[in-house]
This record gives sequence, C-alpha cells and structure tokens, in this order.
Amino acid sequence: MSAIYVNKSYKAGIGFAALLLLLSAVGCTKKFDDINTPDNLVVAKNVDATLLGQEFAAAEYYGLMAGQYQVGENLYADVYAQYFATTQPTFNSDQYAEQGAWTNIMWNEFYSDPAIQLFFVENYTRENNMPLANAMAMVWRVEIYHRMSDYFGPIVYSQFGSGKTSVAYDSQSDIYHSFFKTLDSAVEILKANAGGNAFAGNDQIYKGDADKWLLFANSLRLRLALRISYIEPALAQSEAEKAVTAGVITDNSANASVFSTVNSINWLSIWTYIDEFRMSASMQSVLTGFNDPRISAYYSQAASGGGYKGVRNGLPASEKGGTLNAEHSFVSTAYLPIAKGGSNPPNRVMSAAECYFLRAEGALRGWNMGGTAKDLYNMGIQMSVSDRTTATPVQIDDYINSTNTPVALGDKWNTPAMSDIPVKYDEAGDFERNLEQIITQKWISLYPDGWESWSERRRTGYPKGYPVINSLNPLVPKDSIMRRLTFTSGEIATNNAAVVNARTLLNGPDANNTRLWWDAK
Amino acid sequence: MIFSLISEGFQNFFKLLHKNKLLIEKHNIKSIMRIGIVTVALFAGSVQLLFALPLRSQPIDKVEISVGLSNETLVEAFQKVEAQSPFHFMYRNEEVRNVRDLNLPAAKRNVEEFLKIILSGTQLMYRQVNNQILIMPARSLIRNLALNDFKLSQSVAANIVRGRVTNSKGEPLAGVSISVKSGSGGTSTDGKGEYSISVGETATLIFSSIGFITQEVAVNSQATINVRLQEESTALNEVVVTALGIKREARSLTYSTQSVKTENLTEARDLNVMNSFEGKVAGLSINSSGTGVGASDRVILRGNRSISGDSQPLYVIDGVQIMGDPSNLDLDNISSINVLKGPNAAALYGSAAQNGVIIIETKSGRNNGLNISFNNTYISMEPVLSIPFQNVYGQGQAGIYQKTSEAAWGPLMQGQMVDNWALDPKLAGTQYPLSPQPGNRTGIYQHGSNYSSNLFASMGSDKIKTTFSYTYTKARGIVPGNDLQRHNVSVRFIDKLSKKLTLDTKIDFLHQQIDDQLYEGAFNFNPNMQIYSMPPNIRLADASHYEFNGPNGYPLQNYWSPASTLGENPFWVLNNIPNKNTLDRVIAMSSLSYDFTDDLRLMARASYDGSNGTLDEKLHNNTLVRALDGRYTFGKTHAFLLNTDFLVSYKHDFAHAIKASINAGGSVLEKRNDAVSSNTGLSMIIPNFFTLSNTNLPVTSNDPGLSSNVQSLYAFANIGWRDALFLDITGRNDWSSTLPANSRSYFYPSFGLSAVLNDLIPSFPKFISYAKLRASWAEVGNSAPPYMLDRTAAFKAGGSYGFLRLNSTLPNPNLLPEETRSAELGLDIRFFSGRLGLNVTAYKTNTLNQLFTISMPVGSGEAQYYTNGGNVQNKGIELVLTANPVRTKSFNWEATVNFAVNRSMVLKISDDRPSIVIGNDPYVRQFEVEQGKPFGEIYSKGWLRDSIGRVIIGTNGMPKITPGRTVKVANFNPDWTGSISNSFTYKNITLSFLIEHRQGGTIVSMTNAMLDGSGLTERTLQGRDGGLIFGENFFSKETAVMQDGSKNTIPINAETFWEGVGGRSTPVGEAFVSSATNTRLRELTLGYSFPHKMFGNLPVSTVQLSVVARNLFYIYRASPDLDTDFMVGTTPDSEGFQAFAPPTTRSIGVNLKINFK
Repeated sequence: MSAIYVNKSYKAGIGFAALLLLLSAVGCTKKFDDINTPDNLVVAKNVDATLLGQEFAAAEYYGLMAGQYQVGENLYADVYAQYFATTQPTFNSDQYAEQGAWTNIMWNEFYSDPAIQLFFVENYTRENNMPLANAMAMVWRVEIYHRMSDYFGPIVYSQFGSGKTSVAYDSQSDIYHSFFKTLDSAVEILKANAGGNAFAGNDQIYKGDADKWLLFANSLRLRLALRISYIEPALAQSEAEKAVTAGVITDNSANASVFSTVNSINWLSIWTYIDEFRMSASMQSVLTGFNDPRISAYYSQAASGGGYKGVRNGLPASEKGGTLNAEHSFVSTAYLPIAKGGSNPPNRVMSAAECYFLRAEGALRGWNMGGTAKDLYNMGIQMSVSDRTTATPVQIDDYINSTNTPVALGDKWNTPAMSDIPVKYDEAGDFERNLEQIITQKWISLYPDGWESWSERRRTGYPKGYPVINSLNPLVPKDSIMRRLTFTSGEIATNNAAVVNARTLLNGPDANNTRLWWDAK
Repeated sequence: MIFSLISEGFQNFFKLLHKNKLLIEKHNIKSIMRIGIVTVALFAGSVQLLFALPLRSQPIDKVEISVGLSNETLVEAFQKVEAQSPFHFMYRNEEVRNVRDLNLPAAKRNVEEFLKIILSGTQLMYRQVNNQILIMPARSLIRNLALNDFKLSQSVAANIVRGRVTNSKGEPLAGVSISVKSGSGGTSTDGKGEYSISVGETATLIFSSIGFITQEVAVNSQATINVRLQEESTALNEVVVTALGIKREARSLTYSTQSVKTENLTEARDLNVMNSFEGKVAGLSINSSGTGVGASDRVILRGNRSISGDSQPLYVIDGVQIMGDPSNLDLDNISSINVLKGPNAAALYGSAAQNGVIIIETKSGRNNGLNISFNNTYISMEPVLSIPFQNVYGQGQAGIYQKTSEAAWGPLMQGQMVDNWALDPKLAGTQYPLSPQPGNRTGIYQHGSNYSSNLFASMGSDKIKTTFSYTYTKARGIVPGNDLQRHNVSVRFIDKLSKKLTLDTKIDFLHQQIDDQLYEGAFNFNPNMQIYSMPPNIRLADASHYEFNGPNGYPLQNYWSPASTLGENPFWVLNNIPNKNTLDRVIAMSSLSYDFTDDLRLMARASYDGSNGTLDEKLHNNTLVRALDGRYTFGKTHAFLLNTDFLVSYKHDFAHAIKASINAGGSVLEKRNDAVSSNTGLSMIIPNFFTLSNTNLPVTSNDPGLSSNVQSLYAFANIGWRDALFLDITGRNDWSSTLPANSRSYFYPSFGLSAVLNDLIPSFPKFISYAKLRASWAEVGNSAPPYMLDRTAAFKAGGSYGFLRLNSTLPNPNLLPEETRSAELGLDIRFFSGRLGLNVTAYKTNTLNQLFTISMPVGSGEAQYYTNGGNVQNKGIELVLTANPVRTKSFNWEATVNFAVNRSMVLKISDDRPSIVIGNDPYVRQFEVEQGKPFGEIYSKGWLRDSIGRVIIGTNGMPKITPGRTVKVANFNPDWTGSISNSFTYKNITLSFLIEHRQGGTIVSMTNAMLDGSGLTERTLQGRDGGLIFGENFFSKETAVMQDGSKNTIPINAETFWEGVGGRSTPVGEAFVSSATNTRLRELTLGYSFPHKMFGNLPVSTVQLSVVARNLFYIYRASPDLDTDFMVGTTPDSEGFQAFAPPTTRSIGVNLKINFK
C-alpha cells in the first residue's frame, strides 16, 4: 500500500511542479515593455532640455548637407559654380544631366534628418519658453531652407512637420517674404538678450553667443535682400539697409562656420579621399591670372607636371579618366582627409568678406550701405585674403591694386581668358563691369561654398565661367547654365498632388532651364 | 576493434579515391587523416555508445541460470532471467499479465529449459532473436509477429530454407516476418536480414513487414530464397510528424504535406541543404544569393504574402522552432523532412508559421542494436559561364583603342600593336598586340569541389537509443580563395529513465569558416563583376600582374582604368580584399515526458539555438575608390532563440468507433540578438597592417539587436470516427512583447476535416485503393517587429558633445497583429493498389492587417509610418502525381510529377498609398507592391510612348526615355512550375533523375545593362558602324515613330545606343528584360549496391557507390545567360534581381556509403 501511495504522489509531484514552473513563466507580460524598448536609443518622449543641445548641433552640422555632400553639393553646385570639374567618367552632372537619384537622396537627407531635428528644437524651445534658443533655431531655419529653395524654387517649408500624407509646397516668393519676417522676430529676441547664451558649447557656430547670432541674422538678411534685387528691388533695398543699420559681420572674428571635429569632419574633406574631381578651368584662369595669394590655400599643384591646372567643365566620358587627375590640380592639403595631412577646416557658412561684397553691390545699386562700392569691395578682398592666407597688409594692398586679369589657358581647346576684369576696382567701369568684379571676387572668397556661388552666378551671370565642353541636356545648351534642379522622384511617388501644384508655382515647366523666382536679371 | 575498423575504412576509402585520381591535392590527405582522428576521438567520447555495445548473442540453450519462483508472476520471472542472463524479454503486457502464482524450485537450468517449464501451462511460446526473447500467444496469427514455434520444429518438415531479406536498395531488413501460406509456423529475420525456416518443398512463404509490400514466394525445393521487399508507396499507414513533434497517421491529416526523400540529399549533396529541395516539392521556390560557397537561400512556399516581412517559412527541428534556416546543419543526421505548405498545417507553430513550415527530424536510433555507417562524397563543381561575350572589338571608345577605357567600343582586334595599359613604371612605354583573348574570363575561375565525410553511429535497445553523427565538409568555390570548412557534431540520447519517464536530449554543434565570401551586385568588390567586365583584349598574364611597388613601398593596383569608381583589377579583388566569416552554432534540446497512464502524457521541454559569428575584412591600400588607404573591419554577432514549452496529451478510444486525441500546452519563446562592429575608417596609419588600433578615426557601432518574447497557450484535438473520418480543431493564444498592451494578446483557430472515402463507402470501386478528401480553414496571427511603438533618437559621434538625431519613422501605438486566413481543399487518391497516386490541393490565403511602413512625403516630418492594412491573396493549385509503372522482382520504376501554380495578388494596400516601393537598387529597378496588381511588379525606366503605345524617337535617332522608373517592365512570379523525377532500380543498380521546369516570369538584368553598355556582349556587335534603326532592324517588335508620328528612319550606331540605354547609373530597364522560363536537368544519380557476398567475413553489411550530378544542363532556356537560381541577396525585393551573379555550377561527384555490421 505504501509503495502505491509513494508512487502516486511522485507522479502528481512531477506533474504539478512542471506545470507550475511553465505556467508561471507563461503568465508574465510585465517585462514586455522593457523588452520592446531598444537599449541603445533614446525614446523621443525622453528628449528634454538636457539633450536638446545635441539635437541642435546635429541640425547645424547636417543642415548644410554634411550627410550627402557629394550628391547634394559637390556634384551639382560646386561644378555649376565652376569651382571644380568632375573627372569621373560616369558622373554626368557636369554635362548638365541631372541625376534624379542623387537629387532624391539629397532632398530626403535634408527633410528626414536636419529638418526634423530643427523642427523638434524649435517646437521644444517655443513650448518650454526658451526664447533665445528658439531665436537661434529660427535663424538657422532661414539659413538651411533658403539653400534648399535656391536649388528647387518652391519647396516644402511652412507645412513641414504637418504629419500629413500630402504636404504642400510654398512658392519661393512666399518663402523669401516669410524669411524676412522670421528674421524680424529672431532679431528682436536676440537684441533683447544681448550678452546672453543658449546651447553653450553645443552650438557648433558661435558657442551660444547671442550677440554673434545677431550679427549672423542681420548678415543673412543682407544676403537674402541682394538675392531678390532683380525681382523686388524696393524690398531688396529696404531689407538690405535694415540689415546694415542693425549691424552685419564686419570682421573675420565673427564669421559663421560650423566647427569640424574628428568625428564631424569638414564635409569637403569627407570626399577628397577619392579622386573624382579637380580644379575647374575657370578658377585656373582667374586665380593664376590675378596671381591670387589664395590659390595655394584653395588648390594644390598638379601631381604630374606641377603648376595650377584646371579641368574644363562638362568633359564627355570619353575624355575623362586616365591621367586627367594627375595632370590637374586637386584641393589644397587643408581639405584632404586628416590622415593625408588635411587640417579639417571649419565649414564656412558666412563671412565678413561676403558681407562687404554684398554691401558693395548694394552701394553700386545706390543703396545706403555705409560706404562706397569701391571701399566695400576692397574691404571684402582684404577680409578674404587675410582670412585665408598669411599675406601681409602690404601684399594685400598690392593685390587689391593689381591690374592683373584672368589668363588664357593654352590647352587643347585654346581656352581664352575667362574674363578681362582686373582685381583693381574699375571706377571708370560701368555697372555691369563693377558688378562682375564684385561678384567674381565674392566667388573667390566663398570657395568652396558652391551652393551660394551657383545661386549668385544664376542671379547675376557672374563669374562668367566657361561654356561646358559638352551638354547632355537639350534644354541647357553648352553656353548656358543650369538654372535649377527638378522635383524629386520620391516626392512624385509620395507627395504627388503637392508636386503637381508646386509646378504651377514655377515660372515654367519643372525643368533644368526654368528660372527661379529671384532669377530675374 | 571499432577504432581499427574506422581507420581501415578511412584508409581504404582514401586508396579508392586516390586510385581514381579523385584526390589531387596533397593537403586532402592530411584533412582526411585529421577527420579520422577527430572522429575517433569524438566517438570514443561518446561513452554511452560504448557502454551500450551488444554482446555477441548466445543461444538460449547455452546460457545457464539459477532461478527459483514462489508465487511470482511471469513478468517477475522474466525479470529474474534478465538479471542473470544477457537476454531481454519482449512481450505484450495484456498477454502475460494473467500468468501468475508461478512456483519453481531454484536449480541450474539453461534458459530454454526454464522457459519451457514456466510456459508449459500457458498458450504462450517463445523465440530468440539476438539477445531478445519474444513471448507471444501460440494462437496468434498476427502476420507481423509470427513466430518460429519450437514445437513446430518437431513437425513434419524436412526442408530448411535460408535466405536474406533486403529493401529495394539492398539494405538488410530486420524483423521481417515470414509465414507459411495456408500452414502454420513462421519466423522473422535477424539483424542481418537473414532467416531460416523449415517448410515443405511445395509450400509458399509470405514475407511481410510494416511499410513494405507483402510478397509471396513459392519454395519449389529451393534451399536459398533471397527476397527484396518493395517499400509501400501507397503509404496508407504513413506516419507524419506534425506540430510539436507529434506523429500522426497521414490519413488523419486534414491539410497538405509533402515529404522529401532524405537519401538523395546526402548523395547529390549541396552545401546548403535547402538547395537539394529544388524541384522536389510542389509550390516551393528557392533562390540563392550570389555569395559563393555557403550562400544563403530565399525559400518561399505558395508565393509571397507579406508586404514588409520576408514570407519565408519556419523551420522546426525535432519539434522545436530554430532560428533562421537549417542551411549549415548536418545533412547526414536528418531522418525525415516534411513540408507543411500552408498556414492550415501550421496554426500550432504560431505566428512564424503563417508562411508554412519545414519540419526536420534528426535520427534517433533504432531498436536493433548497433549501426555504424560511413558516408563520403566528393563533388567537383565546374563553372559554366554562359554570357555571350563578343571577341571582335577591343578596349576603347568610338572605334579607337584607349588603354584606360573600361568599355569595348574600340577597334577591331587584328593583332595591331597598342600601348600597354599597365601602370607599373617598369612596363611604361611598352606595347602589345591587340587580339581577342576568348579564354580570359573562364581562365580566372577554377573547378570547385565539395568534399564531405560523415561517420554515423547509432545504438538502440528499448531502454536507451543513442545516435552520434560527425560530418566534416570542405568546399572550394569556383572563385579562387572562396573556401568553406564545416564541422558538424550531433549526439542524441533517448533514455527511458523509468517505465513512465522518458528523456530525450540532443546537442548539435557546428563550426564553420568561410573564406572570401563573395560580395554581390554591381559593386567594386564583386569578383564576378570584375571578371565579366574585362575588355576582351586584356591578356590574362597582364591582368594577373595586379599590383606593383608604389613609390612609398606599398603595392599599388595595376588596373587599366585607375580613375574608375566601380572597376578593379579582378585579381586585386581576388587577392587583396580578403574576408573571413566564422560561425559557431549550437542547437540543444532536452525534453522529459511522463506517462501518467497509457492515455495521458505530460511533456516538458527546453531548447536553445544560439550562434556566434565573426567577420574579418581586410581591404588593402589602393583598393580603388572604396578604400584608397585600406580599411580593416572586425565584427561579432550573437543571437539566440530560447524556447520552453510543455504539452499535456490525452488519447482515448471512447467507443469502438471514436478515437480522440486532445493536447494542450504552452510555450515561451525568447529571441535575442546583438552585434558589435568596428573598423579603422578609411585612413589607416600604416597601410596593410590590419588591426583596429591602426587608425586615428576608429568607427565602432554596437547594435543591441531585436528582442522579443512571445508567450502562448494552445490546445488541439483530433477526433476520428471509424478511422475514416477525422476532425481537427486547434486554438492558440499568443501574447507578444512587440505589440501595444491592448492588442498584444490575440487568438487564432483552425478547423479541418478529412474523409477516407474508400473506407466510408462500402461500394467504392475496387481499382481505387485509397481516396481521401480533406478540407481545412485556418487563421494565423502574427506580431510586429520589435521597437515599433516609440519614436526614438540616436546618438552619433560628432560635434562638441555628440549629436542626437530623432529618427524619421513615426511610431504607431495602435498596431494590431497581422492575420493570415487560409482555406484549403484537397484530394488524395490512389489507384491499382497504390501503383498510381494523385494528390491535388487547391488553396487560398489572404494576409490581412499586414504591418508595413507607408512612405510619407519627407516634408511631413516623418519619412514613413507603420500601419496595418492590406490584403495579399495567394490562390493556387498543387498537384503531385506518383506512379509505379513497373514493379517486378528485379526491376522497379517509380516516377513523381510535381506541378504548382500560384497567383499572388495585392488586393488592397491602403487608401493613402495604393502602391509601396518595398525595395530598389538605386539604378535599374524598383520593386513594388501595388493595389490590384500581382505581387512584386518591377518598375524601371522605359521607352517613352505615344498614346497608342508606339515608341517615340528623338531627332538624334535615340528612343526617348521616361524620366523616372515609371514603366512596369517585369514580374518574377512564374506562371507555373513543375518537375518530373524518375527512379529506376534494376537488381543492385539505381538510376534516378530530376527535371525541373519553370514557366514564365521575367527579370531585369543589371548584368546585361552594364555589359551591353560597355559593348562587351555579342548583342552589341550589330551596328558598330551605324545603321541601327530602332524599331526596324533592332528592337523590331517595337513600332517607332518620330514626335510628329512619322516612321523612324534615323540610323544610329551601337555605341551611342547601348551607352545611352545601358550602364550603371541610369539604365533603361525595358531594354534588358529577360524571360525566366527554363527547363533543366537538375539532378542525376546512378547508384550501385555491392552484392553482400562480396564482403565475405568483413564486418561490412552494405556498400553503396553512387555517381551524382547536379545542374548538368539546360534542356531549354529562354534567355541564353540567365540562371534563375541566383539573385542578389535573399530579401523579398531580391526576387528577379540579377546583377553579376556567379556562373552556374555544374557538379559531378561520387558518393560512397558503407554500413558496418
């Protein structure tokens, strides 16, 4: 009997224990929320003021296309500004063929990363009563969106972040008008917070210095004012004068640049580890002709044969490749990768030199810019040369007074001099000659910011540049220039109704030869 | 003894291979020796096995015992005999339990005498089989257990007949019962398949065994009768392993399954077990990625059904879900494979089974003593490069030779002297003749090989069954340097700890190393791309000089186009970017079951499938564009799946006609994975010194991976009426950690009904031996991927104090589980005693509430959001025809035809987004699911057409091209697939072959776009000097018109056209569409079983030698160069995407299988 009893309890025991063990495991869903939260990411609702600075820093660094610099800027604006020419046979953007995939990548990069970060920072600072930080974010918004609009014309701007499945574009005219209003609000707060600081060291431009942000905001207003000088001259003048009165950047110590660090390196340097572009022939003609002291800061001598040699833009595939790279000038050592001796320079956003050139143009147009066109032009050169080189004041004066002009290249195309303008301001010259001098010098000073230079080249026609050797684009012949990029395939796929409407906001078809709103000379 | 046996086996095998020149390389000798040593060591380590070695069986009249009994039962008497002798009794409890109160004084007797005494008062008799003593009722006429009654041996008979019973392959069959027709008495075969029986000279013997067709043989005075039993192809009593490892009779199943014969897998073996399934299962499609040896597969059952998931089936080994696929597991240790095609079969495996289940059972040891077998395969793989390359025009552009060109638009190659392209200063200024080098591409490939050696041992008694398997695999790819080595070790014990408690424990371990896994697609490091893209004048000897000493002392790449972004010297890729992958994987399982009664059982089980991998990649200095300064990468991955479950099973025969089996259980499934990867970035301090610290800018990432838990409770019942009508009901509730709290619990049921008509309807026609009708309906729920409920932000190095970036995917806190509904109707019908069988299944599945991301306009502030919706429907018919047209004593012919047609339709996606791009390469194509269209429409650039479909030609004579990828150009889904396999057995020879056909489906070939764009193919020969008129003398199926509608008459030349439409950046996919229709001889095996008598006294029972071949040739191929087996990657959008796939490999090999006594 007892044996049977033991046997039964043994059975029951096993069954009971096993069931209990398994059921207790099954019954528990308490840990589910933990399991379903990734360990290496911050849940968005936990991003607060202590993490906001890192978010703003990302908006600054990535806001100017650091993430997709090659397809976003280097292969488009930098070649259309004729700073560089591509030597890679399969890259056709230099022959005026827009590569839709690149444009798409660039657009998506902007809206799915820096735009989101900035949107979050602006909303958070507004909702949590952080006006100074909010003002800086607003100024940065104007900076990064004006560049996007300058590529496409109408873009998604006021409706960004709507969370809707269709997001309307704004016309470029509306966008620019609203920029001035945004800058008004930002400037008011920045003024009210004179001496203040926001974001501190996380601000990758001014370390949170409100006063410098004020100078930047006014300078940005000046840039945008000149941009609309042909389409809305009256507004252009009043905004430019308002900017100068309020105070723009006048010294290199207040230049706006996004810092470079070992982990967020200079965005041109990201792409110089591969050999896919060289100095443009236009730069060779101008810099060597002017005997410009900045040439060695911008470019290196050709590896084979020495000297500063540029490549004509728009070479067909069959002419590229081979020894082209060795025989022409690459960027200066400063822009090489750190491992190759690069100095990882900061990323230029806006400088004193640019402000002087903007003011010089304003003065040329008869606006009150606090100086004459000539003086402001000379100040621009002085600021740029002293910023980029170690030239002495005497050497700078010599350069300013130089009557050197661009030279012919003596290459297989018998390329003539790009222009006949001298460095020295031609007081006897007409408006266009002076404008060409001012913009050409501004072009030199902006290097390597092709984005701004391409916009100014479209607006003013300067620098004259060279026709491309070949155009693959029937709409944009060799002797003309690309006027814009077209709306992207991703937008056509996901936001088509808005794209259809945006096309009506253009001056013509959604094509590379349609001029933007401000492109009205 | 076993050790010497094995090493002798190895030596003999080696000698055999060596004689036949199958072994060429010396290092193979070493590796074989090493296998021997490792195997023996491992073998010795398996103590259980040695412990369980059988003693040589002695006759029962020679073994003396001293057993006394006092009021004891028969069972107790047997136990006493067992205690004193090597013998073990086998009996049925109900037949012996009434024999009790036995009394016998203790005395020395032999076992036979003892048995005679104690059985004298009963109806029981005994028989010795090896060390087992069977006890059976004398009156029993159960044919399977007929006995050689000792009493009968005293009867009239004089004639003794001996013989051997084998299966169709000549392997001995133990336990086959042999009875005398219209007489009494019988015997059964021993472990060697041998028997002897005393019968009259005119008697007829009946040979029968479960699973085999009963055979009658007239004695006719013969002294020896050897019989070969044919396997019962009707499989009326076939047992199928179903959910949770439960075995069921096939007749009771209410859904469709198909099993795969496992013998072929080990003979015509492939490095990836899944590849061996090709053509063997109706409705199963397999594509391989192009990464060389050890490449992974994409496996789909009954079409794609998931918009964002991958639609691949679940793999279950020994009743437990594994992580990923079984591609690297041990083929030799597989005992059965069963494919459950639809969710109907799978409701009980849970969510992951909505795409079907592939059930693999490993070997578990048999009851009949020790089995040792040795299986060796050597397969040679020949590369077959079928792209039609041109060998007429050389490197260059516009008819002019250019040494830096990557294209072949140069001059006619006529041996004229041209500048050497070499960058090596030593060769500067030299020239060489421009002439065709037709063998330059194939010359780089090599014959690959796949050598594998398996030692298998199993031992079984009724207390413990043990198996051990060790396989060593060494493979060499067709691309030099691409090698694989794999060790698989498995051990399994099934112990009956007590009469009621059973422990089943196994461990499978594997270590694998793959060298130089191939990079895929249109990418610099893909050696196939670099080999295919060589201009036709490049001399192999020049190209093989792939590096030279640069000015800084480091080697530089010698490549004809140094400014290229995509090209490399193929030899540089083969030599200077080595990578190494290692993988250690353990699958362990232990289950304990307790039989409370004969009807009630509880099983508790835990299983683990874990793997650790490493990746090591060394890019040398001057690897063009991608790593000019070199780069070193090292990474580790870790992943595991842990499953614990229990199951209570209850079976009962309620009445004579009704049998029920009810099961209930629960499980917890945990999945975890993580990875760490670090690299030097693109600027190493010292070139070609590969360590992570050799950089100023280390790049490191850690990925904590995806974690999820799913907890489940389930129950299922199978009720049978008269063994002819069956009802299945299942229900399961899952709780998933990846879903929001209010929807994380979800329930799904299934129902099924099957009717065996021939048993239900008395007047059923006799020529129909079996007819089963089945119907089922099921629903399967599926949870979401982890981490979809919260928006997150990620840290990134940079800036002063780091960056934080919010991601652009909007979470959806209201996610619902995905749901697949499936209905299936089928008929299994067999005619003429099973000689002809047909299995037809029609099914329809709808996958609803699918989880997918919808792309938002990025300007919305989100790039995409997760949502539920959609309805993808798969409808299809599967047909399996089996026939046994000839079956004689010496010749047998079996044939199987598989046919499947499936239609995947995307009925609905979302009102917001009627179309979703689920994958694209940035250049040629876009893979979309589109509301109202078949699954997987492929879009690309195409010809711009007018309103009536005519191609519009520009003023330059070139067709106008759509600006975006807006033209639907291809869809990979086949119209139907089918296969025919035939197997012929004549005496000891077996011949079988498999022909596979795929009808329909199209692909866009990136390979063609790039090769044609560079003028490397035959297609680009036409019109080199102009004169091509689109729509007229080429692309003549198109009607081509000018903008004004007039006919196109503008001639262009080949270079203009193909450069315009081909190339990498913006190819016009419409020009590169190929049909995927093809028929190929997939598999051929010729086997020979050496006659048993050849081995004399050697301890060998069977030796089988097979010659095996795979992918011998295409019988038909619509496109000259397309191998539909290869795709880029294994993700859903890889379907129909081909970019520089490796050449097809034609493999031929030998397989030697030795079973030891």
